[in-house]
Amino acid sequence: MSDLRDRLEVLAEEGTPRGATRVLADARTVTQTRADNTMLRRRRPTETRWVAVGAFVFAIGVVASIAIIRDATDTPTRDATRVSHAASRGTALTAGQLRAHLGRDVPAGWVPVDAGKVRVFVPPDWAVATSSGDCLVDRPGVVMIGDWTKVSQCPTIPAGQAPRAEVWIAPSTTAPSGPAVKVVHGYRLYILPPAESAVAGSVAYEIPQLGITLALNATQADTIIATLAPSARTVALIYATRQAPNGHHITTDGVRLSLPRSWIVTTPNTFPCYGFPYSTTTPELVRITSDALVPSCPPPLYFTAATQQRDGVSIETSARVGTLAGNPILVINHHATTVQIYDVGGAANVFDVYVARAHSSTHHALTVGLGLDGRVAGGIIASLEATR
Amino acid sequence: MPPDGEQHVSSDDVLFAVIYPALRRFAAVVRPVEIDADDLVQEALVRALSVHSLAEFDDPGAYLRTTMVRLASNHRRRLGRRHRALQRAAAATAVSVVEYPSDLDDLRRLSPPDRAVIFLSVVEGLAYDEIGAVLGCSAQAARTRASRALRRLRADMMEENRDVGP
Repeated sequence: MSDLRDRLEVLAEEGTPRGATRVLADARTVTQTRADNTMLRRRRPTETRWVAVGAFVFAIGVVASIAIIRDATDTPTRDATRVSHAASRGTALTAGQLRAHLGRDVPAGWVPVDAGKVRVFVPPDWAVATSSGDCLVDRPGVVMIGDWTKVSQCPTIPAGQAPRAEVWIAPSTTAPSGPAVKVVHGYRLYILPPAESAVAGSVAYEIPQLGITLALNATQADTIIATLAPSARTVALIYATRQAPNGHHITTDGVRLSLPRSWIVTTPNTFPCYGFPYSTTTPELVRITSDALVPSCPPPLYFTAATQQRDGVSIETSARVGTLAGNPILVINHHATTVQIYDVGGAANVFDVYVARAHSSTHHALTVGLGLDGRVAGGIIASLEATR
Repeated sequence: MPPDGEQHVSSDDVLFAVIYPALRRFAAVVRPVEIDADDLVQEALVRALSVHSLAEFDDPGAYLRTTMVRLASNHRRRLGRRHRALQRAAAATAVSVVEYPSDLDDLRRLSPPDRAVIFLSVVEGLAYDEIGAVLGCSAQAARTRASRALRRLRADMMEENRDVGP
């Protein structure tokens, strides 16, 4: 019974409370909005009321029909007036956000694409474009990350072969106005006027909690919006400061770390083309020796969404000496080790991590793939110790 | 002397601040995993405030708890339908995601009223007639529900221990 009581206590204490004042204020806002809507309906003249009733019944029929059809492929919309603050609680993640991050309720086969703090899921054969070098030939859809004007200037797209569906994720440039029109997994979405949307024919939302603008021009737009989640970067940074999980402890090249038991350790002579992590099958710890060959690779046509998020860690076998450039996004000190985490420009799916013993100028350099589940990368970072 | 409306607002603030911690814990227990606990409290509060101010309820805490159990049950049904529909419509391939088993999974598999009755009985130590008042059923029905839920939990936990045993 005490075990059951303990579990119930854990369940009862999950998440970070928003606070009585905030919950009550939000509830009053919603109540007032609903009351205002009711008053507006009551003020209608009698002759228009019957028209309104008829239209309402017809709309209910249409909505019910659409709901039945969409139930198979889409998610139901939430109450537009509902207010939620789940994502604004510093480093806390709600259970719903973690579920969304793991893609528990997305259509099977869809894969995550991360951009900064945000993750959306899309079909696996979509392309992901982050610069004008990514040419988007003959793909059913594309997720464009960053400045749309640069991405769209690919010179080699033949007429008629441009993607039919587009999702654009860009840093936020404007403050939202008006009430939120949707709340997805605690993130509030504000609609942008069509004139401010960068993609012609798209619906664009401002999401201040994630600092992005999300524009969609796709038949699956609602389904994609319903997959909105924290990125592996966000989740990894949270889990990097928690207790390291039990895994397979490995000491190599001056660093001790814990990896999931299924991972392997390799020391390749040459590297395959196109990015890190290198393996598309088994996640691995790759030891990069100073004499490993880097082959000459032709520029890629595009990257697909299915290969964007991968697990893996690489470590340089020769420790770096000297001062690091730029500012880390997170510094963790535990025991005699300092871990500095850096963003890698242009790529949302890896961190550069430097590990050093306290007060030492010798840094061990690792690259950590953020993968499908950010808790894995976060757990690995949490386990890092410099042994020399 | 402030007008009536302002007096209600003020007393509601104080009242809600007192009952919020317990309500939030209760919501965290009965909610489906996809719904935020504070969202559930807020939703119940909206229902309550559309009827009266909190100060006008005989026992606002009990009213909000009853509402939360019903809302959680509705959410669970809706999310279950959605999940089944997505599975039907989905392609054959699946995203490969590492499963992180939790020792709370057994509890989460119970329905919201079952979780509520166990929580109120085991943690809050309420009598079955008080639990029945929260769930909107008789004391006997609450006792039967608790007994069945505990039996199911025990079976699940034994199964779990067998899996991790030598």
